Amino acid sequence: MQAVLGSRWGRRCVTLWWDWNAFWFYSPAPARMRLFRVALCSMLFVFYSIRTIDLNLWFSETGIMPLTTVPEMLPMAFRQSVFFYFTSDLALWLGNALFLLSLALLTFGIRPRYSAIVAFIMHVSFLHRDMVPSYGVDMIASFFLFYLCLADYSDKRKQTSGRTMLGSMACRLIQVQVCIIYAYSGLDKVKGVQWWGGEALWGVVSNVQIARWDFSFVSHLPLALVAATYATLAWEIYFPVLVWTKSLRNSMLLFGLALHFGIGLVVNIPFFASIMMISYIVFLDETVAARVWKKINKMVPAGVR
Amino acid sequence: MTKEVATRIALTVFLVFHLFCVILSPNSQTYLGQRFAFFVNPYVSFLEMSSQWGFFAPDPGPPPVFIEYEAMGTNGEPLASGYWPEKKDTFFLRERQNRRIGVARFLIATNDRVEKVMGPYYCRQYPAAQSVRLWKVVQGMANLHEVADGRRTIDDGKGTERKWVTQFLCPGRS
Repeated sequence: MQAVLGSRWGRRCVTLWWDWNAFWFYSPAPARMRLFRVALCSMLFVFYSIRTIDLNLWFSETGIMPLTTVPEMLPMAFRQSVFFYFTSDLALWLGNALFLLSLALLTFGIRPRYSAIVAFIMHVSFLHRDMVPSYGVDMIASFFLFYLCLADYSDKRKQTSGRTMLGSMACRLIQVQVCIIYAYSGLDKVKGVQWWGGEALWGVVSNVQIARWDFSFVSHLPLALVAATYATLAWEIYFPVLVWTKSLRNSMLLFGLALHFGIGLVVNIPFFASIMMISYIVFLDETVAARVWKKINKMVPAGVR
Repeated sequence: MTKEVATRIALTVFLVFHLFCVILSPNSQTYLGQRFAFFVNPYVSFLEMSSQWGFFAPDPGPPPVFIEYEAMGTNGEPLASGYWPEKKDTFFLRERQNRRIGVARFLIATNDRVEKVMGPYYCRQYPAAQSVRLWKVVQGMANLHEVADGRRTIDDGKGTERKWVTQFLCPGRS
């Protein structure tokens, strides 16, 4: 064993193992995770409160998707929901109340791990009951709520405790997940004729069903449109690599903020823009996040934990 | 082996498995995706982590889509008609319209989906209806050069296609 570890390859493997450990398990980020949790869960609370207005339409037996229709629309193997077993409207409304309550508790940091587990189970239950009206925000929320089940927010625990290691891993998983989203989104766009041609953003702003206003004037700025299309493409493809470079991180995040703010302004999907911008919190410097958290705590004396 | 090392090893095993699944899952139609589907699919389906992440990719679209319906009475007279979603956003909170657009985009892919979801739904909405007639409507979009040259406006609706889907007979009423 000693001989193997002492060899060149052995030493490299040991270094790699320690780098892996340092990256995943010994990078605690309690302040970032607290900020992320508060921003994400308050946003989701509003988002799913709006969905509540149409709760019967989407999930009830009298809505668009009775239970018997669900497996005819999408493959349901391995997909479970509490609403497959409790099918009444009362169960639906109680489930929704529990879901919103768990998001509120998460926002205020009350029993955050248990609240996250409840929120995740209810979220997936609603998604599986009827996946047709779900879109990007719902999908991203699945991942983030799952990672919040692992998160740890304590500054005081030992770095070597299991909970701190899980907390560190949760923050890293969110970072990596954001990179996976952008990588797939960017590389998938390379397959598109309109993205290659530089006119893809016209396809977005000229779609009257999703555009917020009449963007006809943009047709007189074709060069700006082409530049914005290619810039989006390049940024999405390179984000997963360049965001890990310390000197470029802030520039990448600032471009992303501008991009998503633009998307939120042009296309009528403000919550999608919000969830992506919120995800950048986990890329902040821990000391900056701690300062921001301290200021927030001063503004809310009762204490968001 | 200390407890700390054991924890790290267990977490590493979980991490490798989880990352493999969430990285492979959006690309599930490939050889690797098919090869490992037997353990990736159950995991990502159960936790609902099977998203494709194709935002506006490979190309932005689809164009504006609607499902047109007409509820028919006993003597074949029209009782009500309209679109799903409404052509103009009638909601104060836009999110409600976004979900309706998402539903229309999903359903319009096949006639079967439109018939199985919207037929029974409109039968329930109009208890006096004997049948519901359904069409798929795909609105034409003006390209950049046509708008720039003033030949078209962005929402002139030219090139709109309206395709017949079915006349759905409301169960137990005909």
